[in-house]
Amino acid sequence: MDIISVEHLSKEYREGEGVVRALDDVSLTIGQGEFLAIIGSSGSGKSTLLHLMGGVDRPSSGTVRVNGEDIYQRSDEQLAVFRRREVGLVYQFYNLIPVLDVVENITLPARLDGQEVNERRLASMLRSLGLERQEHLLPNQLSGGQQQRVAIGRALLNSPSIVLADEPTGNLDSKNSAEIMSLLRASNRDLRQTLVVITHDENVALMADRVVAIEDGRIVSDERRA
Amino acid sequence: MAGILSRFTLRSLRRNRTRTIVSIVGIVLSCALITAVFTTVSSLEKAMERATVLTEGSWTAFALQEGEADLDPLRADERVGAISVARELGEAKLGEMQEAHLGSWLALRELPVAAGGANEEAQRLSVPLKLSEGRLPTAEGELVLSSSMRGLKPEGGGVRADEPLALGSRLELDLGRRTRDGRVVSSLSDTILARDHDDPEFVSVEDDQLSQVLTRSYTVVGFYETGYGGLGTDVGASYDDQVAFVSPGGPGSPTASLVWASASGFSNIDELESWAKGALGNDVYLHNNLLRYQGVYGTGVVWKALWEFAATLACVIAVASVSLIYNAFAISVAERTRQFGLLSSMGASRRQLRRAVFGEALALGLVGIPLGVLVGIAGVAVTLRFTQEGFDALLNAKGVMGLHVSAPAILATIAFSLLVLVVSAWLPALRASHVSAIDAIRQTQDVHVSRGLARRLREGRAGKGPFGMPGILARRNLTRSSSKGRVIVASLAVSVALMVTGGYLAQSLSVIVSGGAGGVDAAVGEADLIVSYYGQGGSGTLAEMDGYLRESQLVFDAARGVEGASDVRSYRSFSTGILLPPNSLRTDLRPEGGADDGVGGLQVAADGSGAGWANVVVPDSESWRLICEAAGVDESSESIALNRFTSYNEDGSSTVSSPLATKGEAVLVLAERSEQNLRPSLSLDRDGKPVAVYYRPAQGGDEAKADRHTVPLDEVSQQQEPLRVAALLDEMPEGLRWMHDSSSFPTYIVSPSAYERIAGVIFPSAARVGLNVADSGQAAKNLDEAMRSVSLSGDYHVVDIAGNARSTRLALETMTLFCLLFSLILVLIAIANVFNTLSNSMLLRTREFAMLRSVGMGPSAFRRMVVCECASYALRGLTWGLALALTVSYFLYRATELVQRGIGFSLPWAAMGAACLASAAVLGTSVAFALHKGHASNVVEALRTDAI
Repeated sequence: MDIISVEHLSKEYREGEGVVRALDDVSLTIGQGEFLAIIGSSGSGKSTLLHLMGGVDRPSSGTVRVNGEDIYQRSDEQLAVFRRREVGLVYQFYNLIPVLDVVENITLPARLDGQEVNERRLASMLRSLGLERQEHLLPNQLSGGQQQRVAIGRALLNSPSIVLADEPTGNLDSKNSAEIMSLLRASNRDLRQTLVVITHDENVALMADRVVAIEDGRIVSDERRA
Repeated sequence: MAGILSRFTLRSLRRNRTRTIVSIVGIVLSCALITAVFTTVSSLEKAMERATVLTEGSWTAFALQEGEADLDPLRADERVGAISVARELGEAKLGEMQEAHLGSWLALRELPVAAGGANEEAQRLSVPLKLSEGRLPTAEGELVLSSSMRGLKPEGGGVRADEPLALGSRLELDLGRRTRDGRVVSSLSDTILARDHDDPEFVSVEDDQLSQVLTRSYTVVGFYETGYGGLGTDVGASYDDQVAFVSPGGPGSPTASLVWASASGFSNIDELESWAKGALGNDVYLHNNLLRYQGVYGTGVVWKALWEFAATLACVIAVASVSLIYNAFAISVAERTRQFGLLSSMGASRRQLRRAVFGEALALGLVGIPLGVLVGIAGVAVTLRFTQEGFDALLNAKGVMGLHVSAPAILATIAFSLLVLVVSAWLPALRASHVSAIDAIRQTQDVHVSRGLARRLREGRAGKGPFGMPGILARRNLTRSSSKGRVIVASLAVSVALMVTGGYLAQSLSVIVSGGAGGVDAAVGEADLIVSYYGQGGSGTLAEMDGYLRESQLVFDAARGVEGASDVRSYRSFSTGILLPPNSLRTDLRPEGGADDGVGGLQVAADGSGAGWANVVVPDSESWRLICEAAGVDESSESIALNRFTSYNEDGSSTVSSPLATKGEAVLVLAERSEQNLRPSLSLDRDGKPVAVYYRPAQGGDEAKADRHTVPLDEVSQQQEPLRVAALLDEMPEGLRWMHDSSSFPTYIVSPSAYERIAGVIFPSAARVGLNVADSGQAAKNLDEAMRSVSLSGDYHVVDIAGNARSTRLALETMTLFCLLFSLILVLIAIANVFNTLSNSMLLRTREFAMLRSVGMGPSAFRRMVVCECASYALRGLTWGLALALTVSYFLYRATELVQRGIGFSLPWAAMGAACLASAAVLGTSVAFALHKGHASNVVEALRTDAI
């Protein structure tokens, strides 16, 4: 079943006096539980596509359907709810809230949703992430790898149906990169979460079920791996 | 939601302590200032209430009741605080000789006694009699009279004495019940208290009848000063009667009772009036002055204006505060754009993000507002302590100004401050909720390039300019952060404007107080104390003249006897008729034909002659010598004419002129009296011929019924004396200007040696003596006692010029102090804004500065870059600020031009210099602080560290 369906999606940005077409009539479907890698050169439109799929930005034209529903028909309030319940976002530069500690950063979407935090699940998450001893440390007290693990924990705690990761290993060494991808893959397999990863890393691309290449805002190739 | 975002908010506040503290300081300052404004007004209101109680009594209602007062309903009423009552025991008819000066009747009244409530409170209801001599009556057969009766020998009526009235004199009164049309009337019957307001006709009190007459004798034990407080306040108030007081509890039933009562618990004047009429009868008078301050009788024009002024000031403060607090929130949101974007990407709704910012406002308010209220109250308390003397002068009452904290005013302050916070946080909250998650995630922000810069970039001119690369970087940064720059420049301009305007205000008030021809201190330069003596009568008889000369000499001697007195100068003034020959007055003052209203006391004919009243001033010998010296004539001259006349226009301005055209000779004329013993005035008829005008005012002052008839002067018996005028003098010499009131024209200064010759044609007016002394207040008291001891028959008046000037100066200085304090706090708010904006702007660029250092920018180049930026802010801020300040100062000058009496507009150089220095200081401090705070241990650390 297709969980994400992108139809004729376009996005334009104004830059100075000109207009940049970051995405140009892109159409794509992603099945539930699929691990999709998006590759392409810098400025090709990968991140734009990812953010539009996550409801973080608004397209200039086209639709993004999640579970059959056009998410951009929703109000801003509904879109916020969508982001905190159905999507998990992981960024290259971690993007943690510097004044919140590890636990607070991880539980941020849940608390924004007004939910009671499941302490057992949280404890299990911290163990999986290897952060049991860093619960109350602030981001500036953690290493890069640890910060990215916090970001992953934040993305996964609510068990979203979609996890979107924008170069999650871009700022990490190989060891940490492998650990991070291992966590994401495990979540994808075990919980049948749809995982979309933007990457420059060949190893990451090789782990995916499907690789889509984007160039100048258009999909130039879409390969399923056996 | 509340938990996590609250933590986010509070920790963000803690993280940037400096900005948080500056924001709290801004809130404290603005809240303190609003509190101070409202507390000052409420304290002033309370003080004026106290001053009113002090000067007018604490009575709420004053009533006139026929016969014995019925006080039981009052005593039973819980709303009544205290009651006092004075019984009127009857009236006696004054003789015809006294009518002109004393009225037709003398009422006998008991001193007020407490009749309900606490004794002390009852005694404060009305203002006690102020004795000028003697004591209050304590036993039967004693009474006190008004000081206007002192020295008179009443006869020919129902009030008789064997000698001119003095302490110890025996007075016989034919006391009875005064009736009119069968109805008993009292000394207050014809006042607003009891008169039928529909009846436009004035009653003729002379036609009232007296019945049940009994003759009683009294001993005069004291004289009291006639009060001017009016009904209720003045225990001696009457319609047109003299009032004599006896001790209470004497025999006889009263013809009327005067009742004072204090009451509370009324919400409006109608309710109070209705109660008062029910409890005290229809003839009741309410103490509106006091009720106004108690909030019962509307707010009145003055109080409405004062609270509106306070509200206006609060709005001015609010604008300054909103600017600071809004800026603080705007910076806070701008610095956390990424975080707000992240929160949005995590699913925080717009409402949640807005609430985060409002939560920040609330947190700051919870600390700042209570602190601000306390600081404001404390500030007012301290200020009032140091300005007590000034307020005593302003309110004309000692010790009434004290701190009064009004709960409604504090609640209004808190509500207003919260509103300021909400307004300040509103836009930043909206901005936070609309942060683009993408911009946050991308960690990029477009650099907005102005059109001018874009054009210069295209033309290749952008990379040129003075101060090299640092200068270019400075100019680019100024363009980039134009909104922050505008805030800095605007705040700087406001603080400069306030400092310079405050300086100008202080400078102007100093001029008004000390300098200029009409300055407060100018009057003091003439004499510290002036005693005026007014002779009795004015009928011009020899006996009066002798009495005037003798008693005025007693006054002069008493003044000379004051310890430490110096520069004692005196004069006697007289009035007389005067004829001036043709060509005496300027051509432009002459009418085309006949005579016109003329100038001053003179009517002017077409040929330049004049007729009318003149003032004759006979100074002491030393003063005469100084005046001759100023006029350039010999001391043996007979007289000098003062050629100065000040007329006052409808708009309040004045015009000074010199009406006399020539010196020469004037003729002093004393025409015979009328049958009613009234001295005529001189005038000119339509043909310009001199006439004597006999004028008798109608009863009740009705001009239309006045009796006036004119007789050609040559048909009237008269005495004439020529007066040789040796010179015309524009102005009395310095030190003697207090001797001449230039609105009185014409005035002739006559040599003491010439006085004897003209004594027969002049009659007494007033004598004055002026002196300088170190402690004018004490000297005034001593002089007053000395006057009482010589038992004058005429009136005298001691004016403490130096004391009054001191009071005026204190009052002005107090007002100036409040203005300056107000301006100072606004300046601090503006400076805090500059500091906040500039320091945070610098902090945000920590990474950028580290990058510049990493590519090789040395310390001196870095300093040049920063100095260029600050110089731009300083130049723009000073330019706008000085322009605004000088404009406002000029308008202030125009508004006070009349008061400043011809002093030109002058720039407040000192304040302008201070403003320049302060601007440089605040800019320098902000930058130094930010650079110190943002300085990383190494470049790499700085490049890694988040700017927040």
